[in-house]
Amino acid sequence: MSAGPCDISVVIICAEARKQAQFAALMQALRKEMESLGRSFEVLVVDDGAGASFAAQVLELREQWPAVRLLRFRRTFGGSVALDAAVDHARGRYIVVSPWYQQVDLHGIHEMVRLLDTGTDYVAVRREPRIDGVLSRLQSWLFNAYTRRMTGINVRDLNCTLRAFRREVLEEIALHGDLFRFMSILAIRRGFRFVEIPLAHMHEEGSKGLLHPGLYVRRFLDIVSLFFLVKFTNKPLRFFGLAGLVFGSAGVGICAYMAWLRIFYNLGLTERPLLILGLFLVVLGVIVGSIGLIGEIIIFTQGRSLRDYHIDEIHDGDS
Amino acid sequence: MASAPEVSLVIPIFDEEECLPTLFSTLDRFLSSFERTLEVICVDDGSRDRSLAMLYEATDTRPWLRTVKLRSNRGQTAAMAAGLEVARGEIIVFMDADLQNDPSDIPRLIAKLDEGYDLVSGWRRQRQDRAFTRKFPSWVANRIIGWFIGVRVHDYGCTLKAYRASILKPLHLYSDMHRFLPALCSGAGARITEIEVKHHPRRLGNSKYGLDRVLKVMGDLIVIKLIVAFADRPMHYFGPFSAAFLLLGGAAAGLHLLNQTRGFNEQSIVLPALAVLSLVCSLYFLFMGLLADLIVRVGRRDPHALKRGAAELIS
Repeated sequence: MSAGPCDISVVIICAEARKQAQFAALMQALRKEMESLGRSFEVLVVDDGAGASFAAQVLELREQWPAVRLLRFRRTFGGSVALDAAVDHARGRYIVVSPWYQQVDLHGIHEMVRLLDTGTDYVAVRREPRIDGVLSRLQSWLFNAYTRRMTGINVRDLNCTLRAFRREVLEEIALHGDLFRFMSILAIRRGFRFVEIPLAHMHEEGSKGLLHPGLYVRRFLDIVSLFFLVKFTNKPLRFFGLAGLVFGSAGVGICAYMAWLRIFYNLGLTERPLLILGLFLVVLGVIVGSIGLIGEIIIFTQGRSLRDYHIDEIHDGDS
Repeated sequence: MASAPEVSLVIPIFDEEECLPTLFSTLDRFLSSFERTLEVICVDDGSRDRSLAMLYEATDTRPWLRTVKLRSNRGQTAAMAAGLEVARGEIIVFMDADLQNDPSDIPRLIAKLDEGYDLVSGWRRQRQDRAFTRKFPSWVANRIIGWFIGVRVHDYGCTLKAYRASILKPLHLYSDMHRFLPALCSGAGARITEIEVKHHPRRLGNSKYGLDRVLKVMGDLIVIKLIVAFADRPMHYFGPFSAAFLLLGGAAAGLHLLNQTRGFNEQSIVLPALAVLSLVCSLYFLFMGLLADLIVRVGRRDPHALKRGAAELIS
């Protein structure tokens, strides 16, 4: 394989080594599709702490298929870190990220590459028709619908991890924590041209049935962060200020009502717990609002690199 | 262009296909009599209509025109910031595409700038808009902004303003700051004045503003005040809040103690509750001020960035 740049880098991130047969099947199917594509490519396997046996399997595979490269972490750092590292080492203009098993029909890579060729920046996949259980589908539907609602961005399937990018997309979007799965939203938000194509669902290794309850909490929190980051990164006071205003005015309203009762009806306030609620709401409003001010200071002092816009092209009159 | 032009005219464009032909012919006419070298930068803010194609077409036949294409719609401030980034002139003039402003005012703005000002603001004295939904709110807003920030300009909302690039370039424009440019520039020590400009009724296309901005503008105002006056010493911004709550809490506590010693044993919780919560708020603002100081100190951004641009090397 040449050491120079190539057309397509396929990145596969694997954090568990148990299902060697499935990984082997994926690689076999991938080889068929990639070779029939007729483009220069490499397959970058990221061992995200899957262990020595997995690395040995990949290296063995490399003997027969020299396009395979291995990037190794000693322990699991998670999808976002693994992908960042992979982008550092990938040499392709396009980067296709695939799960480590055949989640969807890989023949779709042909269509994805064609879309990238014709000016799309980012191609995601939605699993259709799906083969997993009703419960999984219901959860998945709820998750996607809730995300759509909170961010106002129309994506249908965030949990299908076969995705194809123009390299710039991954270089520009900084991911942290669990936001890896919300990449589509961040990309659309940055104004990249995004297409979602349907591909037949083949196998599912991810979520089955009900998940650990902590996971639901984490997903929920992720979406709250995302909602905030998408809409208010540059204007935190709009968010905190509005929340503070709502709390504060509710509190002032309650206190005014109490004062009204005291002054005109001479009712004692000592017996009224509502007064405590009113006072606390005022304090809460003050606190939340001033957190917004701190946010504005952070954005002003640290946010120089956060550009609101991206210049695609400058077309000069004399050129 | 071989050498940098003297003046950069920046026009943000969003879905203005109806206005563009008239805009170009107006600019053509204006340029034939304009005495300085000028570049016109049209920033396409992710238009969904034919605006971009029309801009490209116009750019092919006009050497003074430059089209900047943004990847997606980001709003007026971002479009202006993008235009500012690529502008090469020593004087920057902003204008709207809707032709409510008249380019023929530009020479007068620049002449005024040459009298030794850094910012010349346009003032639409004879404003041709609906009185109740546009003119009155705008009048109130300008008064409030002028009073609150301490930079009295009659017409913050008028886009047609001329700036010295050395004042404008160091500013980091984000959110909806374009409405407050005179305030931001004054923070950088700009000498500001204004002149009356013409204003035409909107004939083509639709106005993209509504009345719902009031809350946003109020919030922005608080932020601008914080940034302009207190960016390098936020404790002074939070300090007075802390002091006010301290006074309130102290007064409530004092009154309560007074009642106690006088023997009104009403057992009321009102005053003690007020005192405790006020003292909590007072401490809270004190700590917020410290936190803000911390953020400013570790900021990668030089806290004096705004003001240092005002220094002029004389010899």
